[in-house]
Amino acid sequence: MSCLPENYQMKYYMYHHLSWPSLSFVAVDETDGGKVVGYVLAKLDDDTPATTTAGTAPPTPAGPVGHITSVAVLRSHRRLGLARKLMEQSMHSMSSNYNASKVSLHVRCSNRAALALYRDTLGYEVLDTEHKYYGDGEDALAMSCDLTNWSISE
Amino acid sequence: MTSNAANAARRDEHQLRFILQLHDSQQYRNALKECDKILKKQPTSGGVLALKALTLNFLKRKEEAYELARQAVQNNLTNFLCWHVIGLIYRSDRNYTEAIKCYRNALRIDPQPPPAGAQVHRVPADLLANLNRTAEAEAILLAEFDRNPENADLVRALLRVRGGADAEAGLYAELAQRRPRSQLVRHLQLTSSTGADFARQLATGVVAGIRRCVPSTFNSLKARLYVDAESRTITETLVTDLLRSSEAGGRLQSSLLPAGEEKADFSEPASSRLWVLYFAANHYAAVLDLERALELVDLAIAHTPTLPDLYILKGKLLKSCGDLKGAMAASTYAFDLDKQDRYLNTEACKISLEAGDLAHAEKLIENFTRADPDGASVLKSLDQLQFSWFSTLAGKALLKDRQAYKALARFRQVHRIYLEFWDDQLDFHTYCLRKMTLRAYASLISYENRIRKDVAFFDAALGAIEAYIFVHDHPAEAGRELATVLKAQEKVAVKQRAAAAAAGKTYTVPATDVEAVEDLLQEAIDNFVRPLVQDYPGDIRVQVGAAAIYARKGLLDLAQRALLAGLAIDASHPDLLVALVYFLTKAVPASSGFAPDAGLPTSAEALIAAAPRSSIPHLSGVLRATALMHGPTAAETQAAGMAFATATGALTADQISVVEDLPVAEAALAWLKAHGQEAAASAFSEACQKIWPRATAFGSAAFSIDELRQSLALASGCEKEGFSPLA
Repeated sequence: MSCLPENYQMKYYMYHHLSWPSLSFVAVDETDGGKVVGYVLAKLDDDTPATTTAGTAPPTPAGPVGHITSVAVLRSHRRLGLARKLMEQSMHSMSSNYNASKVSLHVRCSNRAALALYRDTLGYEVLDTEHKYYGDGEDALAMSCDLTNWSISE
Repeated sequence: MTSNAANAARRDEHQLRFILQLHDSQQYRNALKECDKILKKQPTSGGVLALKALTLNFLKRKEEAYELARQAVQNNLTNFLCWHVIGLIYRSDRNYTEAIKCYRNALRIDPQPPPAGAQVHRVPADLLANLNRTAEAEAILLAEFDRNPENADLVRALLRVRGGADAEAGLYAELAQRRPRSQLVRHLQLTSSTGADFARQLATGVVAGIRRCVPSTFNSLKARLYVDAESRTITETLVTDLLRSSEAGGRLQSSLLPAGEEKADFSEPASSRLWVLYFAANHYAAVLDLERALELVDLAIAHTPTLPDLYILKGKLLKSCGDLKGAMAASTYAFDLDKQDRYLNTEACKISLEAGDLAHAEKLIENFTRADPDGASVLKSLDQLQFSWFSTLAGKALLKDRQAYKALARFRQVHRIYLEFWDDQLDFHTYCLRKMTLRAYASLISYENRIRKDVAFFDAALGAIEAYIFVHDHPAEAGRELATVLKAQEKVAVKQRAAAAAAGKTYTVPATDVEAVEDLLQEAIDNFVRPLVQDYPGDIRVQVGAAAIYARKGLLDLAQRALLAGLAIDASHPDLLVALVYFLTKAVPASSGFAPDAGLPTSAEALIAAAPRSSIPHLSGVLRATALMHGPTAAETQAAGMAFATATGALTADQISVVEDLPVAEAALAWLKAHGQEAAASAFSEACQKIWPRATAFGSAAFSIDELRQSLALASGCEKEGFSPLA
């Protein structure tokens, strides 16, 4: 998978697939022997408390929170809107299969194309900047999107 | 009936779920009680028996656990869960051989591999379709399509419901109306159309792709463009029209475009010329006019010198011409232009490895492997990151350079990576039972059982087999390599061990270290031959490789079986000829009393005499078979070498396949040189130079990579932006 922006071991993909089988999607080029040309890897934050003990905890969201672990499209298959479509499918599944109330992600500050997709096309908002989030020292923007009234465009 | 069965299934699932919940909270005794309660009413329920066995296993009542698990399997041979549980119990005792057998059985019966997302609804849809309740099935599928209009499986399912190919056009039109922006539907409409309709849709689609700067416009259509003479003519007309109309910078025009659909004041974007050139270069590459393709890509580079995709295409074209150095420079330069892009890095790496420049490739990949705090080599992180493609190509490059032991170390690395993939699933067994994501787990198991079917493993395994054969057939040369490498490795290890000890750490042997294995042929069989034969019995290269290894190991029955299979696939394959000659002249005489099957040829000499000689691969097969039969230095072999060179020079254009024959010709030249046939080598090289004027292997001038990259940078005017050699 030469489109991967980060390095993950096989096990990490298995973990996602086995835990939340319907949240991750791949884009496949059927004219090229079914080669995988893009993917979105997503999960739910299970550690978010679903119920709280009376009185003490802060108000919790209505459902679990989804998280986009990684999304990428091969350079040769850009400008087709694949990233948007992959994200939309995953977000739809989070909301309809798991009743997720919102979805979060991290993006490199330098990745302007991705930032534009998340913010302008998909409706994410920037929550915070996390310093030196990435292994190489780059900062990340923490973003999130409300799923309560969200639906796939068109 | 149906609803009774559904109720029973639901009840069963409910029971299993409850028992697993008890497991989850480690209430094994309660789980046991629950199992017994159900078993009283349904004494043969496979799932419950299996879970009781699993519970007993947790309670360390091993013998009872095995007994019950076996009973569960015997009573329910087709139950997925039963096989799994017995596998889990074996695994808990580290009996991996038995565990694996059980998982395999589980797979065999496993229901359909389960599907993510949309497909969950499709199972009922398929059922309804089978029950002839097509209207309901269609409604479910259409609703799913509305949600994901790019899912090809859904469209295929709809087509089945609608009654196959006849319904195609109507269905696509309807789907296009539902979801006008579906690229999948537009693509299907275009590729299924014919004649004037195809011409119009093609022209419209290509122009739209070019105006939107979509790099994959050509590749997504490639499989449709040349299926018949008519399509090919249409494609050529379109390419010519677009090149001509874009040259002056005006609006894109073609006789194939429907008239009057564009606004009069539409102004063509400046990028259109660039993407026309890119599309046209791809077209000429596909019809194998590589020189024209290179011309066009150079025009595109002159238009926009900073677009990496152009250099990637140029690299691919040069590689097809045999100019590996040029290809390496072009693709490395593409990466120079965007050092964040993993795809560019991978492409440059792959071409560098194919050009045999391992050091360059390692420098490139360092950009994407995390710096190791211990300062360990890039190779160690390659192993950790499970980059099998890198190891495979490195192995092939080393083997080409006759460093077979080093090559074997790389191929072993791939084997190990796939073993890791396989092992990973074991860690998820209990996890998935608890999470109740059994369907996803079933899909993982079925994936894992197919994992060596992965084309990456296939490539590595074929390379490995070649390396094992090389070591066996060149014992002196390979022995020298091994001795040298082991000595050098030991030297490094001593130093590293000392350094590690000083830092209070333990020293780990690098994954690419060469090992001295006692029975290499057995290793070849266990790790590579058997999985290949199992997964790809219909591939001639697999049968030839298997025959070669088995014959050298003295396993003549198995070798013979592979040869017979090979004969059934492609009796005139040149590598099969070589394997047959080895079998007849070396393996059979060395065995005592083996009587070959009547289906095999008996005379190696007659076989060679009758072999076809109408292409470079066939000619090269005849040469290698002759050398095997008479010995590498025999007069007959010398004569065969000269005959090979002369015959190559006399081949006509239609007997040469410029792309596929090139690596064969390169290997043949190396063979002639290695066998001291200087005269034949130079005559052959001369013949090849006429076929492949750009190929470095046949004497075309070679520049250093950095020189070439520098000149690309100068030509594109980017040298000011800080070109720096990789070193």
